[in-house]
Amino acid sequence: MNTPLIAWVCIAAAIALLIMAHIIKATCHHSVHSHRHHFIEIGNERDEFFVPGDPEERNEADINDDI
Amino acid sequence: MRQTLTTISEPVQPTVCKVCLFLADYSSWLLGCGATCIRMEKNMKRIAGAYGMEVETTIMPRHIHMSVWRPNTDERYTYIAAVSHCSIDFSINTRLSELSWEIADKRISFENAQDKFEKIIHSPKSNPWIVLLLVTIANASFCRLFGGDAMAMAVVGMATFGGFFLKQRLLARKIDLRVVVTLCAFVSTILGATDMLFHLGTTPSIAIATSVLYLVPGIPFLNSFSDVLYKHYICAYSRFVDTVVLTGCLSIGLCCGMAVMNAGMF
Repeated sequence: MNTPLIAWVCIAAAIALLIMAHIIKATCHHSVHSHRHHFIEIGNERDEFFVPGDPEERNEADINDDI
Repeated sequence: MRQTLTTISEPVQPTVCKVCLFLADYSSWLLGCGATCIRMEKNMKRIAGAYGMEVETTIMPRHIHMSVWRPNTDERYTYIAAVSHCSIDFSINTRLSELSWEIADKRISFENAQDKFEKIIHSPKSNPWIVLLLVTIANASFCRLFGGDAMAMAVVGMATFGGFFLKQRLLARKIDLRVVVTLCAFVSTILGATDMLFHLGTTPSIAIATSVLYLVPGIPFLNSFSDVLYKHYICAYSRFVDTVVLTGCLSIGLCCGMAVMNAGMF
């Protein structure tokens, strides 16, 4: 069989496997050492557009705390 | 008189010994991060001057020999520091230079300077995935500059991605840089020959030639020329020999790759 083709397939496969193994390892390590982040999340609009200095949002449970 | 007026007036002036040890660490990191000898000399003199001291250095390829003294007194200290074995990092390089200006211009205290130095050398490194992506884009752009077509750029991008990824992994395992460069050049050449092997584009030879450009030791080459200009001949020669050895390793990898792929040479 063609030597260049064999060499190319071996090197390309080895590098691809190395990259995939590293990505899988990094993903597993990340999921073990940190809390999971969902790829898509629906959150409060205020969380996205909060600017420092905006009035703070108060929970109902906190209302009587000032009394 | 002018010297006295421009020095930092602290309640307790740092001793010559403390300043010398600080400068030893500082210069060791600065040279290890890829600074030129002239930058290192200027920064050290700037820092020593801010504390009312003077410094003289002898810069060797792996060690820095320095003497710090306070003018018109008997206080003097001599120290030999080993050059830090860290990878070239222009971010740390720049921040260490900024620190020297902060000491000279903003008159920060010695303790504050030490704290800032520790923060700089322990700061997190750049994300390796981002570095990998940027190197890939840069090398593909090189291919375009040398006249490669879109397919050649894609092939060079793939070859660079694979080769540089391998380089990062092998260097993380503390494998000798010369071995790493040879292996990566070989792998990148094989992957760079994709264009030629499958007859994808019109500029396969450019793809092969530019697939290993990311391994060229450009910064040490430039630093060695800078050192020659400022008459640091020993350091310049050392850096030049280092770069020649690395370029030789790159060439061996490239030639082996081309031989395996039956790529015509020249």
